[in-house]
Amino acid sequence: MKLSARNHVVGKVREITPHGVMVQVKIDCGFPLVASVTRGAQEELRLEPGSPIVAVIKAGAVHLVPRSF
Amino acid sequence: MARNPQPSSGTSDVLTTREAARYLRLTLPTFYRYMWEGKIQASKIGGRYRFKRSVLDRWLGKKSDAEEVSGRNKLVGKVSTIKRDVIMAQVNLDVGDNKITAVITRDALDELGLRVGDMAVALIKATEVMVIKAQ
Repeated sequence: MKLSARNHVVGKVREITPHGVMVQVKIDCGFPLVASVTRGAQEELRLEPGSPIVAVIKAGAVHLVPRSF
Repeated sequence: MARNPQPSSGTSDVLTTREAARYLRLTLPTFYRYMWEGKIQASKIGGRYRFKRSVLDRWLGKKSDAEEVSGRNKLVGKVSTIKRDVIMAQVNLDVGDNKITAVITRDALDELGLRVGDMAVALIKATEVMVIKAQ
């Protein structure tokens, strides 16, 4: 699939926690990453712990914070 | 008088619109709708649409690529205008009577090879959608 989003992070689902209509998906991709998707999306993609996934983040959505260490 | 030796849903790998619709067992209007929605890939040769059987077979097995993402809102539209800058580009889509604006990087635009008139899917995560109550 061709997507315009610039950042594609390959990882695996580590943990899924339901929060009402949403589910929080913790991802293992070399660093901690959390996604919040609807329950519908989770069911449609059959996401469960261990599922291989790609996390997609639009470049414009990335914030940069300067650090001094 | 010899009839056309090629049956309309014949063995040729290239099909006309009518043949392709019959092959997929869709009515012609439904087939056209799927075409405009970008679900079925078509090639235009001399003003006429032609379909590769192998492409239709793949469509039968897989449906649309866009169904493999978690984003809930997939709006199929036609690219109406593209404004290019050095870093970013603005892509306007006509989705029915609505207009959707996407701002993507110039790299993404070039990689997708998007042009005015192309069909594209605007993908919006459900948590990004705001609701205004009608007065």
